[in-house]
Amino acid sequence: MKKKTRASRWASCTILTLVAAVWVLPIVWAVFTSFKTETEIKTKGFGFLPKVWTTENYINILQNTDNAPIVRWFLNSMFMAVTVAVLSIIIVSLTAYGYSRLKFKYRDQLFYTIMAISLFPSVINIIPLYKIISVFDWVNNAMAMIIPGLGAVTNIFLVRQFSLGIPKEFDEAARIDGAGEWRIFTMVILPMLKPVLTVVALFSFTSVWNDFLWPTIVFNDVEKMPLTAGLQLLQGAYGGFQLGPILAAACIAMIPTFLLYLFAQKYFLQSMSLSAGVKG
Amino acid sequence: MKKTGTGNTDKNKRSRKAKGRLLPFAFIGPHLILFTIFVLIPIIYGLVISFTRWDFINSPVWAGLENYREILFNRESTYHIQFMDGLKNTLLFVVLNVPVSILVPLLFALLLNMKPRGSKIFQSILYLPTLFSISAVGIIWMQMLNKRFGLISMFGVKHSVTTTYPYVWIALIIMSVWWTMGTNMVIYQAALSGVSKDLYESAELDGAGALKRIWYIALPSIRFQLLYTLVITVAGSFNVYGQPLMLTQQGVGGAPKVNVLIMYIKNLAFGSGQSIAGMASAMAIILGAFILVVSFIQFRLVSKDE
Amino acid sequence: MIKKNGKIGLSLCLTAALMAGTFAGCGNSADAESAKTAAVKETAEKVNADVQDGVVKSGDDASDEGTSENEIEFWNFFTGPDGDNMKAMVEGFNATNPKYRIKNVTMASGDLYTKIPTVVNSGKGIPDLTIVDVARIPMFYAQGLLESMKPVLDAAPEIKKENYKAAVWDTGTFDGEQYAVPLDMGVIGVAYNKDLVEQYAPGVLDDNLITIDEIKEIIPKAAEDGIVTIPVSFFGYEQALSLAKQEGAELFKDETTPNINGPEFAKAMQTLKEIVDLGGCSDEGEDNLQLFMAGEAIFCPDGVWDANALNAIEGLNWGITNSICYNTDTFYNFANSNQFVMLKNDARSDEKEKTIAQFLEYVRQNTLEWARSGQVPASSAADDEAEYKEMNQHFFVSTPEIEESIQFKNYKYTGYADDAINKVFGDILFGNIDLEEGLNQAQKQVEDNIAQNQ
Repeated sequence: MKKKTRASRWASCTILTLVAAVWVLPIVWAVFTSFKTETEIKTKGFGFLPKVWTTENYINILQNTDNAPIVRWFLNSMFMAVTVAVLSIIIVSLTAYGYSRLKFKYRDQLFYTIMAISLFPSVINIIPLYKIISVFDWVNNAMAMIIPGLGAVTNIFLVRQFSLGIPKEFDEAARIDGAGEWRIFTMVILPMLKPVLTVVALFSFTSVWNDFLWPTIVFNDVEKMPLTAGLQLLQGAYGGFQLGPILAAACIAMIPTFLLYLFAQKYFLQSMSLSAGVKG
Repeated sequence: MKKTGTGNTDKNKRSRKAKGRLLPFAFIGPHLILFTIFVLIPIIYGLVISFTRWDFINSPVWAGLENYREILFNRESTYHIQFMDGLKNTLLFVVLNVPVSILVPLLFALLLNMKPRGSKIFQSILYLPTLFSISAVGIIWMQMLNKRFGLISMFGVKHSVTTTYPYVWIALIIMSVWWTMGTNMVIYQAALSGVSKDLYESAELDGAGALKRIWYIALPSIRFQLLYTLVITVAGSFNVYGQPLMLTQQGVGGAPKVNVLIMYIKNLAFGSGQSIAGMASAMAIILGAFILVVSFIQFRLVSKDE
Repeated sequence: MIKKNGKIGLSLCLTAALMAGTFAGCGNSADAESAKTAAVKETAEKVNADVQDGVVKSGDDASDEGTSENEIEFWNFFTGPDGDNMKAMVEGFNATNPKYRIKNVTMASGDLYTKIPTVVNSGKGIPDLTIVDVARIPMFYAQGLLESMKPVLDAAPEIKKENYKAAVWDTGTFDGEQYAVPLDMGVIGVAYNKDLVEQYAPGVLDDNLITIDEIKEIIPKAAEDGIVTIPVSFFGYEQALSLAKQEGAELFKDETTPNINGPEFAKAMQTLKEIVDLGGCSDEGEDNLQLFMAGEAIFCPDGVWDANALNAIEGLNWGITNSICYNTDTFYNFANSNQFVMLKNDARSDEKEKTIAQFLEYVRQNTLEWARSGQVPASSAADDEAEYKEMNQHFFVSTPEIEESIQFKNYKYTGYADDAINKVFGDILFGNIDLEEGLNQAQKQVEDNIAQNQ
């Protein structure tokens, strides 16, 4: 039996090695190319390793603090993304619990309705959304990045689906013990949802971090912009862009989200039923 | 105060009952409010302007169902032609992209779930592309696929991949999966980690092979999550925009090779000329209706299963 | 290196803080009995307070309202190297201690054009001064978006037609009144590789004109060595417009009648298609600017603003000349033009308009700085500067004849025509769609679009 497992592990290891090698190729190229001179990128044909290593692209971006206060953008992004991640977890867990484990009339109908509405394409929405934002006086304010996204339904749908998979017996046992709804939520269900809530935090953080259309609409102030929107400004006006700085910027922007991912992966791989087993 | 004891308990009961009725709202209420303000109202707004002619600047003019008639039934109209072309490409993208975007991350999640040596490194690498913004992804792939300066030039490819059918579609799907797969993979991983080890082991003792274990234990256990990824991936594919725009536009002044519906909608609303927002909204509403019907079918199929 | 490590450390700390905060947040969030809406509001207010106390406010003591009162908000889309030149001018002006400082707000051009209807609709956040392209100006004027520049011109008498290139100045005049002040002319000509010209086309540029016949002669020679003669799929639209204009045709017959499927534009497209069919153009979907930079194309239609990008390539010996022509009798060069406009806004005070006038006057005088971005300045103030004469784009103002060849697409419905033609342009050139059919389709699209505005 053990041999068999080992064999399948080896097989999966081999497949993954091959896939990962291909998968990482474009990124390796992007990282190496961000260390090339513009002349080399444009004239020397395809290659991975730079012929001449240069940190010029990074220095240009990091030093250009007048036009591009990159540290400021970084902090702004951090603040917005962290706040959204925290608020998302609170709202998403409450709401998903409501739609999956509470019993009330038209519960599923209500959920499917908001789900259906949220599926409509949102291309035109920036005009009314901006109007709403300006009513709240959130133009040029981090709130414009933080609050509207909390109305989204997808993450609630995700957590609801996970919550539906938790057997009813848990709530019932707790209810017999005289626990109230709030107690069941915080003490029984929430711990079991921890892995998927980590995923929600990761997704919300990344989506705020990488959003660049909406922030350019709501921020006029370069100082208040998030990182990705700010880096967008470093690209050429008419498309005669320089590849080196763009790739360097993309690499810089990716680092925090990647670190968050590394951190999160510990949590979302925690077994859900293991914690359930302890309770049961 | 003067009420009798029974009256009092009645009142308590009633208030407890009222509280019970309000309780769900305590959980779903905050989101419902946010949803109404930031999702529902903008969509109603879009619905209303789909019945008008509007350039975003001057007062909208009521047009009734004219925009819808133009898009759906006037075969001569530019808007009908654009809609049909956009719909064709969008549907093709959905049909090609959804199976790959469901199965490939599922396969990887299953492989990673076997906890092979170095699985953490593998999952990090596989998730990595998801963290880039679409503009960076587009630039990277355009360079990789450049037949003169790109990676494919080293393999002697003579075609311009991003402008020749069917290569452009293959490239588009590969890039899409490369970029978006991490999301579904993480969800499957989280779901699979919840599948009880005991179930696997007892199945193994019963002599079930790896495929059987996947089919009879792993997949049924994560069916809720599979439904989620299916619905969201389908809806996301209907809304595809960034990938074909970044990958298939030909330099300055070139139109993308794969024109999806959202591109047409965007160009009508925010093109170079005066905005044709009413028509754009009507197209968006029709696209929304499509997504709705397809999602409804998915829910129906899956809930029948249970 | 140390700096970078520090950054990683910082982000590690912050991510750790995030995760800790996340789970603490789950555990301690408001107790069961309290209404959840109130909790959310409270959180929101707390966040709001954090915003004011923390990240966003620090280092920027002026509040939002204060900012717009004391400053002139100036929107532009100079996100590339040209951003540095604009910033230099804004800073130079602010150093003169004007009543209001100019606040330079840069964004991608697409975002700027999306933002305009957005802010106009809500009435909040309308900028005081904005850069827009000449192609949009007649449309904005017709939509009633533009404020008259009269108070600005009254306050700065030197901002007048005589001090600017006449043709570009006129694009901002409607019913005898000025609604825009031009900054530059982004002429689209043909860039050439001096070394390759010497090798494959010696003498062709003696008259500064590249004729179709000359191109056809060069193609076979260049193709033998795998060199592209002229990638007409890149900025080829402007080449086609130039050719059509040589036969007297404009993009529109009158305000509401596009002229896309007329014989002149069809012939122009046919001519470009012949160049492609003869093998003089790059293949479909190639990065033509990169091709030119790599020294694999003799000519390349391009805008003057790419000068800095081309100069950044070591060993590329390049210049720029007129757009291609049928014969040497007539030639035209189509151009974009960045222009200053004031979007309608009742809140803009007369005092602000005076400062705007001072700023535009400062830009007019110091326009050499803008020439450094690669553009051809609209103001004539730099014409005699030695530094400007050294620049490649000075070619377009070097003789009155060349200067007069510069054309603008300042029609009310230019945007519709641009989008419609760009949609079919490549497909026509590379034979994916029949020429006549493609042009008819574009014509119909523009007609249908215009009909939506009647």
